[in-house]
Amino acid sequence: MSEPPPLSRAEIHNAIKFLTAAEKTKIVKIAARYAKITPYEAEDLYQEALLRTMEGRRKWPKGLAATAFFLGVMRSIAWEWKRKDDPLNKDIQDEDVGERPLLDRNHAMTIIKAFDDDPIAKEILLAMAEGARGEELLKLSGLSPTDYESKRKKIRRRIEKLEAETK
Amino acid sequence: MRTKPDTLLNLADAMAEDILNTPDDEILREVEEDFGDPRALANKFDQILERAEKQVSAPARSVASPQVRSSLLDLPISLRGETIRWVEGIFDFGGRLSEFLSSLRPRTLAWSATAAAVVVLVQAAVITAVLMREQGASSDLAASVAPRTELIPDVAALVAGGRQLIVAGDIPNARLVLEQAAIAGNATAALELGATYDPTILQEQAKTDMADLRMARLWYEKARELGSIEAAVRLERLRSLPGG
Repeated sequence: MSEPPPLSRAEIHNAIKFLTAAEKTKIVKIAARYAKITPYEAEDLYQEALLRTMEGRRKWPKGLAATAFFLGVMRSIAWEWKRKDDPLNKDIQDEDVGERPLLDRNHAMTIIKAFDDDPIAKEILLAMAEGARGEELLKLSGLSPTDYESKRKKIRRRIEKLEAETK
Repeated sequence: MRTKPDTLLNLADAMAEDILNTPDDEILREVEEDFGDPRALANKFDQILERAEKQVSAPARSVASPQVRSSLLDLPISLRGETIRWVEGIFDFGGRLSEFLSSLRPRTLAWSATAAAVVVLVQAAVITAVLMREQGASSDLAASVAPRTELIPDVAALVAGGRQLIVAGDIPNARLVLEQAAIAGNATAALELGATYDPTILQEQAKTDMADLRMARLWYEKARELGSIEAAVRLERLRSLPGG
């Protein structure tokens, strides 16, 4: 199956111009998540994503929602920055070797440790950090789908608040 | 299950997915709860969007302007980490310069003109870093220099780059660069920026079509607030002009 054609410059301009407040908010919040893996701020990340998109250096497939599109763009920029600006990067040939993954793991563990008082949330976070998703996490939590969704939301909100406090 | 070994990226992915799937009204409620205004983050986005639009739509003039513009606007980010590393003790100009140039984002080195502009800015940053390094050499380097490294080399580099662009006749890009330094609180940058709109100065360069009295006044006032005496003199001179 062929890929959908990308939006034209004018279509991109309009798509960005008519983003809703909720979409903008989601992009900013998602940027804050991915900026954590880089030495830069969320603003740098979504500004760069906007620039690359408006300059036509990122193709926006027709039909792809703005939030999903920007998630992909910001994720890839964050990864690029992380790899390029990391002074330890030169020693890392593979993602799972070298010292940086260890530093990141420590940072991740600090976040997870903040959930010592909530064993289910901690279990979910540990699995997330290992790359588990969807059904697997739901099963692992032992919660009903509704309770699981509620727990996930609480986890994210708590992390956001923790980070805001330590900023 | 074990898809990727990067724990932070895995967590970011999971959280981002959660944000993506959160209903719109709920996400706005969260923002209202955190900031007292449901549009707080959307407004922040609008500010950054406006900045990005300016960068994209700035008129392309002379030396491969879009690339120069991109490079210069990238510098506050790129130089920050670099200068800190210099001040921390690694100081080999040739090596550092080539390493820095090779580490810039891909768009940065698209044209040789871009590289030339970057070199000018890097040189300014190097000079500042050297001075700072020497000042701090006899005492505790980290304690005496570190707090200053965040801003000074970047702003100095921007001012130097802005001047260079003015000399090259590239006023639009000079404005973009100087504006960043002026916003960061540099009086010289604000003064130089005001001059790029000042009809009396532009007249000398036969560029009166780019004059804008209102903007000249605005930036001179900013420079005066930041302590520039020259700005007060130029403001007075503007007042004597028709419409001033």
